[in-house]
Amino acid sequence: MWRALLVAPAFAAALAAAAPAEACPDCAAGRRARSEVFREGFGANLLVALLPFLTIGAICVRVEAIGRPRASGRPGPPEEPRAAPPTIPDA
Amino acid sequence: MNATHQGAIVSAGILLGTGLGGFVDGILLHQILQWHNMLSSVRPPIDLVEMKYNMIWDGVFHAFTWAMVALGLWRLWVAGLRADVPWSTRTFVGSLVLGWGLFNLVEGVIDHQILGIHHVHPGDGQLAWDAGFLALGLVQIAIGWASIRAGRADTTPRGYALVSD
Repeated sequence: MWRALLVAPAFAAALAAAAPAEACPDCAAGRRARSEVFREGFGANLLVALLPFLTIGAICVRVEAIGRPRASGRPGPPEEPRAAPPTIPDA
Repeated sequence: MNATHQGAIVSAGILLGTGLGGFVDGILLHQILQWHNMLSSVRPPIDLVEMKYNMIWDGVFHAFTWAMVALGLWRLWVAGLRADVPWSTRTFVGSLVLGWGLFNLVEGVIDHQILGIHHVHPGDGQLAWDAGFLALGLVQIAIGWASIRAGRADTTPRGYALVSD
């Protein structure tokens, strides 16, 4: 008990005295890369990254309509006769 | 029930195939093999700042591929709820392959050939690698197309097989 009371403050003091680690979420290289991303042609690069996906998305919109029943009231292809659903025999 | 609205499941499959194909590109070629990054022909990743710059744009690319997968899942769910959509494995798998091929072809033409923001494997034989990437896309599109055509014969909607057994 007494030992823990002595060790804990010593451990806390050691941590407080240690120099902060140079973690890269906030290191110089990370800050510079982020600033350059937003400074140099951000909109153009974003559009370039998005362009293939926009193109394929537009193709999908056209493809989605294939075989869709028309709203003009024209009848679709004739339906094949449907098998009767199974019935559960009485116990 | 004669379900003929094949386009609903095809478009869902193309979106999913595009997203999953984009992940193959990003995970395999950008990260594991490190052949290229999103803007590596404009800003070659030769030091930590340039590497991190490209990593940010790779992240944006992955965000868009994730969005395609999410959109594809949503469209697949909607298609599964409709009685006029044929629930065909051949159609769906063909659409996935077609979507992947479409990604390779469209991304290859726009990013590699027209804009030149990156190449599949920069350096010696760069053009051959880019052409191979496009050829792979065309083969995938042909295989997917054939499978979708074969799936036209399937006209039962989702769940019908379970009811009629």
